[in-house]
Amino acid sequence: MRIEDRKRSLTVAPFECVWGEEFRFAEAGRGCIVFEASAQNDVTLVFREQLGSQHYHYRMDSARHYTVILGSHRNKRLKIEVDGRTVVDEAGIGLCRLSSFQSYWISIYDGLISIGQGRHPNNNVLFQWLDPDPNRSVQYVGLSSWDKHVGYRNISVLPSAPQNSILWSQIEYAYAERHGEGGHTKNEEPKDGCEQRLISDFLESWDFSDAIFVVGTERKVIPAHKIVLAASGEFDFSSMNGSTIDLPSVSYPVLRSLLEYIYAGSTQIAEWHLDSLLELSLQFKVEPLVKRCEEMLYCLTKIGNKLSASSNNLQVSSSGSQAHQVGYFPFKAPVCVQKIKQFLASGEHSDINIFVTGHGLVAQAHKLILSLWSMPFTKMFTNGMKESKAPNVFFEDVSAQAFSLLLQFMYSGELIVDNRYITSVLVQLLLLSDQFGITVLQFECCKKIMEFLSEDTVCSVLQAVSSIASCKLLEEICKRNFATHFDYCTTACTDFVLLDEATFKDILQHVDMTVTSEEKVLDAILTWCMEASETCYWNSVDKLLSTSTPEQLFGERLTTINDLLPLVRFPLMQLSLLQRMEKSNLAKHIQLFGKLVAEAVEFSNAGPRMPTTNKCERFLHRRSSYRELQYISDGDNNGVIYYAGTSFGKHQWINPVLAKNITVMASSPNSRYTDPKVLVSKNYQATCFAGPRDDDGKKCSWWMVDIGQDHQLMCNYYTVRQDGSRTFMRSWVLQGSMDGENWTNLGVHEDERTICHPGQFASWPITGPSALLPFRFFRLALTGPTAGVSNNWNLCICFLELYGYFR
Amino acid sequence: MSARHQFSAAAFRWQETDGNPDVVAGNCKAVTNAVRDIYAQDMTNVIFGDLYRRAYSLVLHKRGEELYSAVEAAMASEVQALVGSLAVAGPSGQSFLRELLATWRRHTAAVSAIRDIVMYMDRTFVPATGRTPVRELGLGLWRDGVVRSGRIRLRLVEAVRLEKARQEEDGVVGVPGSGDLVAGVTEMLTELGADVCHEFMEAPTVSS
Repeated sequence: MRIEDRKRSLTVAPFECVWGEEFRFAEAGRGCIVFEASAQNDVTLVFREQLGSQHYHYRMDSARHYTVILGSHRNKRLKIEVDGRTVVDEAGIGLCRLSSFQSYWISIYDGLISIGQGRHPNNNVLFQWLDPDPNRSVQYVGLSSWDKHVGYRNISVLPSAPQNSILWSQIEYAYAERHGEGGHTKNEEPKDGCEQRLISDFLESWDFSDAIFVVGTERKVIPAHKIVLAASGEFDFSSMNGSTIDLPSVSYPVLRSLLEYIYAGSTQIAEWHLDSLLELSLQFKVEPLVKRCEEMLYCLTKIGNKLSASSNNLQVSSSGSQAHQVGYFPFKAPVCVQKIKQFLASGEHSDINIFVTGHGLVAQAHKLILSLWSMPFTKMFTNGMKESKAPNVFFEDVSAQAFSLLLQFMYSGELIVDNRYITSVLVQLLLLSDQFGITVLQFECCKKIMEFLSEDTVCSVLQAVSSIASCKLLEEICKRNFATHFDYCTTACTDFVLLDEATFKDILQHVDMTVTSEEKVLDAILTWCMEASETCYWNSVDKLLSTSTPEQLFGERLTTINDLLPLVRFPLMQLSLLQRMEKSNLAKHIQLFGKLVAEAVEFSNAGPRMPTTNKCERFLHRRSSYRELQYISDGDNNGVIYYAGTSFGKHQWINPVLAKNITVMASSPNSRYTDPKVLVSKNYQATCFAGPRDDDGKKCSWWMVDIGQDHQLMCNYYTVRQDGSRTFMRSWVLQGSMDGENWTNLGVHEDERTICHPGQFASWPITGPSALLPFRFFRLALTGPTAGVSNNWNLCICFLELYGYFR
Repeated sequence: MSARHQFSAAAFRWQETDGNPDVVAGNCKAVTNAVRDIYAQDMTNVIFGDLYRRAYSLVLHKRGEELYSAVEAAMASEVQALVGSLAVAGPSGQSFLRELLATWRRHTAAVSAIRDIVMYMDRTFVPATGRTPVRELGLGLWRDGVVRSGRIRLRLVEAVRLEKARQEEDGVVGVPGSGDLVAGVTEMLTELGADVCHEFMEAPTVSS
């Protein structure tokens, strides 16, 4: 419980430091801390290998550590110190604020320190700095201060998942370097099963080799791999005795250089061998090497250096392409990725057939390529079990589509998905990449899933992701998404009952939890506990309880209900509702329910004066809750557009367009009869319309309202008024959007004949789950011609009002 | 709008099938059978892909606990069987050492194969719950179950002492291969831990 409390909020006294097991990176040297802080100055975070003491001070620390200070120098600068030495001192960024809590994140990834604002790591980066001598042992985070108290809250430690591309390139490069070091010590098995290998690991290796060179007079045999050779030059296997290439006139060092260049991208060669290397690369058409050799020979002759028998070693590397070729990608020049991709399509040189049970052959693949990406595949093909010798391998319980994507990624290094409706395949791909330890693909999948995440997919994604330990960031984002669309996610479908207890509880406790009423929270909890297949309302559960016992209704989840009920903020409910609950069967059968309701009734009776002493979250309004703007009658003053005219309750009504609180647009240019001000003026206007515009050869007429960047409305009712004409609308839609580009239909009307008089008001409710989705933009658009005799694509309304839950 | 509904209908059902107790028991059984086959050096019938998937699915569905204890128990019983076979090895020093080293190699090969199968568990479940990794588990079983077990311990000390004495008698290197035996034993003991090596190698030399 204490840890829970600390996770929520803690205050650090001057010159003190708070440590804890909960503030520990799962992996040394890599992690991300997300927190909110409020302070006058010096929000100080220390990163070190071991826990520190309460009176720890970073200036006194002799062990290696990083210190990040937000708002140093009386809240003027951002500072990063390494082992007490200032390395970054930037004015004016990452400052702190005393009046309110600000969200920050700090991520450390092998010495790359990134600092940003907001709750989403890798978004809103303020500053990045790469330690030339990375301290890869930092693991514990200390929350500290300087001469003033610092308040911290909502602290969470996440794995550092590199997201954006700038970060990627650096990390990938570091990744490659690490592998470069390990390249020659092959016996040392990577500790981590998900480590990725490079082609150079297979240089002169008999693993998976399907071709051999025989060189020199001593007839030395050297193994090679057809797919690698064929992707970097033209090695004609058909004419050269199957898979043996006999080169009696070539000496071993020269061939070794050629192979090293192909496999590793660079090699060393003695000066006097350069000629033969050129000859050999010409023979096999390894173009980049030919070019490099010619360049070098030219340089040497220019310097006037005779090509004597000097034994100087020359460095031949693929012209600097290594630096910008992304490092996580195992194929480097001179290996041609295009050709590698073709080999997947054609199955040329393949040595393994991949089958998916229930689908059949998926691809003819290459053990080498699969092994490059994944340790389990390496083991599968080398550890002497059945697959090591078999030409076919079968995979069960996977989708063939996901497996094909996996293979495509392995051969091209890219995940190309542009269709947002295949999230389910992406989730399976994510599971596959987790299963086979392909970290890079896992990140790519997470990125794509986040990109396509919607209220409809969040539940299923969350279900899958919560079991994978390494996807904490995606899980966090899903939970937030769920919490902010709580009403929709728990109403549109009941898949959420499949979530596990911890996940569901996290959502209910989420700071960004947004609901229209506390009843919805109660309903969702009851639905989850009953594992119901459709949404239950508390009063229907109440009825059920008159005939059955709680044990029958809730089964295994009966115990959990006591953990979840305190998360409903009963004190925020209306007294009349609470009184009804007090008398219900729920209160009778579930002790805690009765207690919580009684507490809330007491609170409500005591009036608003008493509660200040009560600090329990249950009594606080949710941080982001909605204001209900309810439709009463046509032309009433309860709608959001009227409300905007008062600057949301701040002053007397003025035209909201003039007050610049909302923006109104029409499909046709503004004119005397197409005036945004008029539509929201509450006054009758005899002629007011939006004319048609030509959109891809289709006529369309609409009025659009933007209620402002900081506001959203879950629209559940709307009113229009016909102008003085007889051009009555008959087929139209009301649509909502968050970005003004992708629209969701809220109300669809076809040949609706309600409006039949000039100046008539008409209102419609919006039903279904889409009434629970918040939007910023709303658009009323004609979908068919109006009833008028002429101008039947004019949308002739002189008034529009929207109702619902607003924030 | 239609796509919205389509998706929720196509929710993933993978979780339900694999959480089923029968499936869990079946998966555990398959893995323990594989452990037996691996120790029996019957590798060609072991299907890696299938076992890896089963082990993965157990860990993914929070059954890592069951899998870990199943593997641990299976390995322990196999090591016990190996001890039994060692007990009947000839009493003579050299052949005993040879037999011991052969069994040791068999054990390490088996452990490494088992590690491959439960690699996912080793990577996620083990560090998360602070268990002993499978490799160390195998070493521990060998150390405590074989090397330090009453009868074998004494015979090992005796055999090493004899072997060393004979080497000294025969000069620097006597019969080719006998020197390798002591080296092999030292290597094995070092792998089991620095203290284990001291325990066996130094005590006898000091006393003799």
